[in-house]
Amino acid sequence: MRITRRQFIKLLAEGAAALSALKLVSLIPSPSPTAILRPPGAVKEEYFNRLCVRCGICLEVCPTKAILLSDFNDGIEAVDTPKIDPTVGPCEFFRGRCEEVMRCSKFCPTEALQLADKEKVKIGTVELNPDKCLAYIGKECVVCDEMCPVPEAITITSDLLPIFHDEKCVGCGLCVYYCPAEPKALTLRPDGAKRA
Amino acid sequence: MEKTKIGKIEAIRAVTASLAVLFFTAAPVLGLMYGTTCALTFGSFTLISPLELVLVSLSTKTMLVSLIVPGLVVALIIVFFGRFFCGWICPVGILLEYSHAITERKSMKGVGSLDWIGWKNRERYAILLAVLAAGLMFDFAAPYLFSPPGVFYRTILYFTFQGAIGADLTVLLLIFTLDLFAVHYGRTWCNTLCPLGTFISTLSIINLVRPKVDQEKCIDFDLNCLNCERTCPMRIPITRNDKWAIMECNKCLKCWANCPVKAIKMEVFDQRFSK
Repeated sequence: MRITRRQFIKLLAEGAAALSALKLVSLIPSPSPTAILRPPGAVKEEYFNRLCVRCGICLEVCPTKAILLSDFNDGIEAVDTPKIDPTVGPCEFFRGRCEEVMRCSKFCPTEALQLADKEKVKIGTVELNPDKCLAYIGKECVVCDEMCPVPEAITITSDLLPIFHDEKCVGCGLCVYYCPAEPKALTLRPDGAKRA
Repeated sequence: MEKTKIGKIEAIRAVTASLAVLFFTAAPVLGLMYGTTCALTFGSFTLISPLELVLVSLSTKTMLVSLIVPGLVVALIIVFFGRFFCGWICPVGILLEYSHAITERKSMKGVGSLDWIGWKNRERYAILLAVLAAGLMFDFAAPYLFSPPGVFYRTILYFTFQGAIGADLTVLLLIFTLDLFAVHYGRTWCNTLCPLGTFISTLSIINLVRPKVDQEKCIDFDLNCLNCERTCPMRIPITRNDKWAIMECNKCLKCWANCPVKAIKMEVFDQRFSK
């Protein structure tokens, strides 16, 4: 393959144009200001998008189908990376169908999701909206407390009202998934997440 | 005669690609294999696309030790078989060939300037280098954009597992829209833009199966035939026997089947080995 000087300069210009186009694409800001809820064992967010190869293995091995793929609303660099939606499925890494291991982290080919001690993992924190919570409205409901796998993360007062303890919550989303209120009184936010 | 020959080859290619789609759809449901072409795992045995591995390494400035062997295994297959994957397995490439057969206008058939073909052959290396430099310089690794089969299979797995359609379909439609602007014979994405395809062809140093034109039989110079270059979806100037350009060959056998004087042989070994 012979290249003349003129063609070489053209090639350089092509490469520079492609590079600046990619730079422009990477500068598109994320429309959603909130951070993404990552599966348990995820590395720090600054490394996650670069380590994830978007193979989709975590989504396929999840026994509760809690993992969705991010879309353009989560930022151009995060497209197709895994995120957790507790309204679709609860993450049972702490107790339950996940066989006491984090299957997504176990199968992840890169180090985007790493197997970690389940005591040290925190996906996020659940927030209660008292206006929608059945117990606070005046009906009898302690579903969240019954479903919670973590001891003392949810306590029930003598008036049968649930109290959420943020420091104990692991963010598995079981309470969110089973919350009977319509719309759900609980939301899982990535605040206070503990990552490898 | 030629018509039936090319029809048979086309049919076999469509079948192999469909079987790959079937495998990637059914195997994760049955629990035999998980993943897409970006990376896949049979439980303890993992394979990863070398381009993804290079992109991850460049953007994080680290080397993932556990992935060196899986990446090298795939790279070794590519060294021997080159872009065989693009011609026989990649569903996007084969769909592009079919979609372009529908949209192609008769007046556009035929070879334009041969220099333009040569120019396109070089341009793709600039694009691949830009993609790698983007990973290295400003940590922009967006492998979802650069691996069309990955995008295709992810669309399928997202639908089978969650019943949802994600961002992948947008990327896929973008690729097909780009190809509508293809001037000559389709697969513009594959033969000019696809960084994965360029990466594969750059790796295919040995490239076992390749077309070779017998210059004595070829009627290009007398009759300006160029049937092979006209039908080549990779836009390879086949009659020139250019080593660099031949690395792009996706082994679709169209040139071989379309040659009116049977001047093209699919060489299994390079001359290096036969001498």
